[in-house]
Amino acid sequence: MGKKSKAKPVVVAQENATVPPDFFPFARYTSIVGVHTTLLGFTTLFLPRTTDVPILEFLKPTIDESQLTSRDRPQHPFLDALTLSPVATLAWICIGVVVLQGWWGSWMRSWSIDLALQSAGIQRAADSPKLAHLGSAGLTAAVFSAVFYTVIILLGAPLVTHIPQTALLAILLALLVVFPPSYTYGAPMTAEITAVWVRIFAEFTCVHYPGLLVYILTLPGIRTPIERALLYSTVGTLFGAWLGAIPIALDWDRPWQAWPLTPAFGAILGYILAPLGALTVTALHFSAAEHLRSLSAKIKTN
Amino acid sequence: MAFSKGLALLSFLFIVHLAGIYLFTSGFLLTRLSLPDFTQCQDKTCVLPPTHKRAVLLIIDALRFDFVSPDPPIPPSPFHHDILTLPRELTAANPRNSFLFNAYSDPPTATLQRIKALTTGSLPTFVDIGNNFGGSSIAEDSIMKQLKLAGKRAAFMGDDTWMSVFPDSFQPNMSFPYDSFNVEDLHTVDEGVIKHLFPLLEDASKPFDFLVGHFLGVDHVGHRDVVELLDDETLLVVLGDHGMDRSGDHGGDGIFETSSAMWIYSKGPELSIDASNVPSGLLQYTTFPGAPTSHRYIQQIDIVPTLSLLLGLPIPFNNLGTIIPELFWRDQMGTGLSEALAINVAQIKSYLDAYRSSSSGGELNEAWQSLIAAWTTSQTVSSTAEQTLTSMTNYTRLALTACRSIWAQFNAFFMGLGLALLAIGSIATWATYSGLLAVGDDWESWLGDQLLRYMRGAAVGSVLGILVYLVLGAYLPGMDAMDCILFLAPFASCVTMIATSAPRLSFSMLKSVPLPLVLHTAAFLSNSFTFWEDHLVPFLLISSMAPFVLQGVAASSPRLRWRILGFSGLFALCVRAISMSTVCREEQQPYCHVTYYASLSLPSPPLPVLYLALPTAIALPWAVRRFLRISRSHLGLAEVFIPWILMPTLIVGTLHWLLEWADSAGVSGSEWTPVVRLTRTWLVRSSLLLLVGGGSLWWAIPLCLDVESPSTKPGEKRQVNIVGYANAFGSSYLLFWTIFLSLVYTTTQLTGQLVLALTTIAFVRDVRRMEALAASKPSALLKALAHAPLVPIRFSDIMPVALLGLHAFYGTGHQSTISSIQWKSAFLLTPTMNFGLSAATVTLNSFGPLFLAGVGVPLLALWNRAPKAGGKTRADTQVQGESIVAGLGVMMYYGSLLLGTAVSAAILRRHLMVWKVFAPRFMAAVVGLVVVDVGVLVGFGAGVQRVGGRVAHVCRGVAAQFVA
Repeated sequence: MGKKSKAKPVVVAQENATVPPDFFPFARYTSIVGVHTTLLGFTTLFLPRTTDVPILEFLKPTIDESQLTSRDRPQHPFLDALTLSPVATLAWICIGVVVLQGWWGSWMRSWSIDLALQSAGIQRAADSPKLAHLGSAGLTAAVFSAVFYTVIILLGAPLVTHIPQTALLAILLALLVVFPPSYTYGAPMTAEITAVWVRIFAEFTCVHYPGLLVYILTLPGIRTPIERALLYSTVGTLFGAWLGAIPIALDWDRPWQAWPLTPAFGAILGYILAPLGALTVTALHFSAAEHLRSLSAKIKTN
Repeated sequence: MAFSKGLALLSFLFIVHLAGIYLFTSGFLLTRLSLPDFTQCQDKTCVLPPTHKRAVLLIIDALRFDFVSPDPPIPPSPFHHDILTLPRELTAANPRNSFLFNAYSDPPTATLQRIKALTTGSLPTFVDIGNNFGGSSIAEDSIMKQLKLAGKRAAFMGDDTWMSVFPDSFQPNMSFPYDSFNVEDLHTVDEGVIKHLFPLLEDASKPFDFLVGHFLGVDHVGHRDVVELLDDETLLVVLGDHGMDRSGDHGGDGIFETSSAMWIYSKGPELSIDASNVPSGLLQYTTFPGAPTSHRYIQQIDIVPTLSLLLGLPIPFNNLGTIIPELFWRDQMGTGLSEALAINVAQIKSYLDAYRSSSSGGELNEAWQSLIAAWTTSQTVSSTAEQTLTSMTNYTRLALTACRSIWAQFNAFFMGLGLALLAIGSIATWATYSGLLAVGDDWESWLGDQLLRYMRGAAVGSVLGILVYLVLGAYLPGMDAMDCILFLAPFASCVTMIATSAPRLSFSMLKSVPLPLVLHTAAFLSNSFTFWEDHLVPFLLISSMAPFVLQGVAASSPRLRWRILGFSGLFALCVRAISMSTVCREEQQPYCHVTYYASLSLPSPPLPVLYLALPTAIALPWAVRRFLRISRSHLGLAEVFIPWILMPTLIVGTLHWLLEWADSAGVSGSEWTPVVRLTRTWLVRSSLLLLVGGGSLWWAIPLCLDVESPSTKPGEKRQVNIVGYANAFGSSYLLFWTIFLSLVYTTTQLTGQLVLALTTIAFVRDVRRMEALAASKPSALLKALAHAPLVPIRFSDIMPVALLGLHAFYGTGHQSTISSIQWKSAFLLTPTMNFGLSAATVTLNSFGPLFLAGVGVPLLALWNRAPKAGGKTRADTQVQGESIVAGLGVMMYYGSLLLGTAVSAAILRRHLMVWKVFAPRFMAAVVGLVVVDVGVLVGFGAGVQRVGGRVAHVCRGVAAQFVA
């Protein structure tokens, strides 16, 4: 973190500010991330296998036999349950993700409050009413699913067909990307909260475009491990979903190429991989800060 | 149009592109003239008495020789070998009636080309010039044509490619085509073939004389049943159209792909009395890889003359195959064979003579002497019959070899040179682009020095080229001195460009890698992405807006934020709306619906378009005027130009196509046809005249400025406001652009006109978005004082315009296929085909959107750039420099696409789909790049320089006023 490059003085200052405060529950954070991503993987791969739930019968649309697979090259049986009905698969994933994100969001929220209180020097008293925040976060996610739906359509998703598929993908993205920050910081309705959102998600424009890939990894405008986790999973999810659109065009005639399975799996994969990156960077900062502290402690004792 | 330094640079890069394209295509695009002649003989000198009345030709997809060979490779594969054993059993039992060959099928080993080869006996290439362009049906002479001339009835079942090649050769009640595109499902096709095959064979009335059955799988053919059902007068031929490689693919020229099986069986008459007596000089043998012994080896096209003569038909005119000797060896002296070979030789001789005297006859220059010599030898009476036979065979084989070398072999050397030049040209463009950005306002003197260096580089390159030719000329295949210079002069010059202006490479440059361009270029390596490119382009286009949206979200004030987001959103909406219009490629079925036309089979616009067309033509000029009003530059020339030039030409363009629709859809009634025809021709002609007038008007007074002088009291200094001054460059250039817009608009069909209107709106929104973004940068003002250019144009700004052009190309009902060319636009200016005018209007119709992108891109550098009056530099120096940069950017984008398509076409030149997917896309990229280059040259040379010169003139005038 030398001040070699002239162009990035602001960023250097910010990165210095990310030195985690003493109390940050690093071990717990790691274990929760591990559990969260494992459960998410389970939700994706195994939850859609649930069969015979009477109230969810409507999720199984009529299946077009001709589109399933060619007689000459059957797919692996493990994938059959996932690809049989993309709508049902996505609906199951969304149901699982709602639960998981609620749980994960509450952790993020409590850490974030702890962090804020700690830096202000106050001990934590009682948490504010949870349900109201949960509701507003859900509402924000709902609004953003409409935004995502529009963006997906703009990117080329079918306009008049496949509406449930596209809608479920939009909901999934909103749950993964929008729900945690709006539960942690509140909906971006007031100028104050909007500023926080903009700072976390959009303030790296000082960097010369279009290094989409690189600048986000190196220069996020973030201050705490929580912000880093949120940004990384947002970028991972959206980039994963974006990349997921690519294999659809291939003429491999595989059932898993059905819309919107690949973007959904891409998003989830990105969401699972991103915390690993966030964790690594946070761990680096953490140990660097520990090292600095021990050095200064030594100097003081000497 | 002064020939300035900027124009020199752009023209120079254009020449580099042309040289690269020329070198690559001369190695890649194999062309052959297909002659319309057909063999006729009234005096029966070109036929033999038939041995069979009927023939059954069963073609099995990818039946390699070893699948039927009595000696399969060791170890044999349980899936492939020793399964189809009937041919070898019968051949062993009846060597006089049954023959088994390893046949060489010429690449491309794709079904369409094989079908053509198997019926014409020729070497089909991708571009068989002369047949009706676009359709795959052939006009060449073929067995099918000779059957028809002889009044014989043909039946067909199987792969429907046959029906597209021979749409009217088969009896309608005996043709059963099956869609072979979805080759995943082999069973349906083959079950269908079998269902129809046996009833025909069993029919005692023998309704057919020739039966073609094309199977997709080996294991579905009931050979034994077929053989049992044959009568004595029917000849059975079972063959593979080509082989397949180890993974089951075909299309290439590998030994496994070109080896196919051929089995000929005559149940009745014996074809050969003692094949072991055939002179050994006529027979070739080859050993299949891994097989224990060698087998008879023939060319696959040899079946054409053989089958023709056995059925008593003349050999098709274009045939290059040689009769198979064993099948004509019916006495000890070989008189039958000698007669057959003589007919064969005479036919090939007359074909070569005809080709030689055609417009493409020069292709045979190199081989002609030896061909003449071989023919003379074959005609002289030799001492032994064996010698005569050998010399005749030598002639036919020599003809095949000569033709194969010109029609069937890519020249990898030329392709390599072309690729090298295209690649180094792209790098050189990028180097100059970076160099120009780095020097900023001093670009003029910098470019002067650079151009001198490039010139010296080119001179050195030319000298080198001559030297290389003199020294190595003998070793370079088919290269003359011109080719050497064409390669080395641009190459050396590009090396100079890279050496003198490339920025130092550093890790941080990774950040400015344009991801959409990289993905777009790489996508051409896959056939799927190539034929879904019309979906890929909007995907990348909208994705390329992501950084702007992020910048918009982070903008300092809410007003700016909503402006940037709003403009980006509108742009995205227009882009999405454009992609709703499409003509589908064949390969996109069944996932695509034609919306450009009313339906797949009805090439007229859909109903809503008919209602929207005229309102759009009226609203578009109004929108342009509104757009100009924002910067108060709707005055001056614009006040005349928009209502009197732009609006009428757009409306006439729409009226023409409405009339065309009324005529062709039968709305107006056929008695009106001549009147309608005349009216629309003259409408377009007068509109064109108006456009020429508009262009001249623009050239005379290009600026949209107005002078207002508020009344002043006497004694006070007179005050003069120049209205529209802040956008003097941009407003005038936009009007210049609309001239070409109306031109393209007129050549485009109604649905496409809506797309062009949307494109215009999107383009204008993009320009506004850029303007708003520039305003959001607080550092912009500071930079203006410093040496650097105000807000340097970045590649990310150019990319949307380049992509928008391609997007509009797809939106206006085009695809990268020859069949999507809209021939209707050829009859715009003349009621009948006129070579020059029709070619011009068809090109404008097809590639007009790309041209508009090329002409339009300098607007990014000109919009709302207030001229700097006073100061040392000319008022237009900065915008001229940035216009060059913008032009280079869009040339770079399309150059990179061409490179991508050329690389994929070169690598995949033996791919199954090369002629259906990769080569057409390459050709579209060639024309696209040339059109964009010309667009940039016209835009900069005529537009930017004229506008800049006039504005600079006005500024000097203003400055002089100040001094006075």
